[in-house]
Amino acid sequence: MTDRILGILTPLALVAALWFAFIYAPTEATMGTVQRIFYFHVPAGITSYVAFIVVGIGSLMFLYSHDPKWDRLAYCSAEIGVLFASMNITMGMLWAKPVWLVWWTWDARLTLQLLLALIFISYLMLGAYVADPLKRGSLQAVVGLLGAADVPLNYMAIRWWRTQHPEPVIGGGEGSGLDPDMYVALGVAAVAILLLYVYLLRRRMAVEASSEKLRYLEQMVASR
Amino acid sequence: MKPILTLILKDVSIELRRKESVAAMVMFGILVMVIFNFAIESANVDPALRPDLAPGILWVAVSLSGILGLNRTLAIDLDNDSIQGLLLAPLSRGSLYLGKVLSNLLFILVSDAIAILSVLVFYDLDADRRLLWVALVVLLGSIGFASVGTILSMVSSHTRMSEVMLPVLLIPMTIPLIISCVAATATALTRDAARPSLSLIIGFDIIFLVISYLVFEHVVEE
Repeated sequence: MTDRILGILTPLALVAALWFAFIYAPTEATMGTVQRIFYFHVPAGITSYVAFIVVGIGSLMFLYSHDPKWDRLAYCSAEIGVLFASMNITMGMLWAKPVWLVWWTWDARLTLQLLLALIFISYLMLGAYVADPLKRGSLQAVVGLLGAADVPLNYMAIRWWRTQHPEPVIGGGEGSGLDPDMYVALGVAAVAILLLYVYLLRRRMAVEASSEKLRYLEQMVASR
Repeated sequence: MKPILTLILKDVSIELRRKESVAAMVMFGILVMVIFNFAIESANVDPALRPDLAPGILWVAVSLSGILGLNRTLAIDLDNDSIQGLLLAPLSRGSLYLGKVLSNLLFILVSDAIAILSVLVFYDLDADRRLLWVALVVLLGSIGFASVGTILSMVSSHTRMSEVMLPVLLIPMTIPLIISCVAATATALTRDAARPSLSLIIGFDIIFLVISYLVFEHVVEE
């Protein structure tokens, strides 16, 4: 039932977000239309952080309780987190090329997002390459927990590293004051993308639960 | 404490007989610096600026040869499945972890010492008091590297291609450590010999030692 409501609500919210981002919000004065990517770029980034926090919580709870539902939560959230982090980075690059005139710069936030994505891609790779399926859960939970503990350290190291070597890369980013209508559009888009995350996560976990059941049944049949 | 010492002695005596891991690490570290020399050549770096490259090159050499060493010492335990013997031994999983961290750290430090000497020679550093600070940064950095590396090498040993999986897991995880170590080394090597900031490195060491110590049993349990 919850899934059905979410399944109707999420597309509606996404359409509303499109309307707010492209029609309702005013065009930015210096950057022009390309700035509108911001309404999806920022929510995707926030959602990827939420997803990675969920991976950390799921990993910790799985190590504590060994309940497979936590493992499923962590694993599926990491997949979707990597998806949103890649969306965030790709949209950022599409925006940066016309505005900063480069695809990429080693700015603190960009570097942090890249490293976050790399940690959780390696987490997913580990899941794919573990030889023994019974061990996959705990191994991934250990890496998920270490990865989540790494996030604040990464944040501090990169902040510190960037203030050590100040590089004037970004002139007046999106941070310096927004039009109220822009805030509204951003808020709508953030809610829509978070709904999308929750919906995808629930569907992905349901798929994972069924494939676990299938594997179990296959083993039962094979052992007969 | 005694079982941990026994574990370290075991690894050291195996290494003294085989002379494989440390030799390979030292050689690899030197080779990295040789490659860097030719990679930098094309940029026509002013000879006076060569010492500025030293911190970065030192840490590339230290971390890559550290990964090589972690893979080698893991292979010793996986050969003949002797890890099973360690798991059956009457010692807690935490002590097993600490023993492996310390023996890995010992090998890493030996190869680090050679790496510091090589970078001193190849990148024209002055052998003065500042090198002591560099040695301290390398020591603290290697503790963090060995503590994450030991648990992740155990994790990767359960995968189908453990030699590749270890760097894939370890490098993104140790980036905050590498960033702080490179910065601290660079500060230590400045002309006025400023005191490098070590708090983030020590924080990394403590956080990862504690978490790894607590979760190690989940990695080795059957």
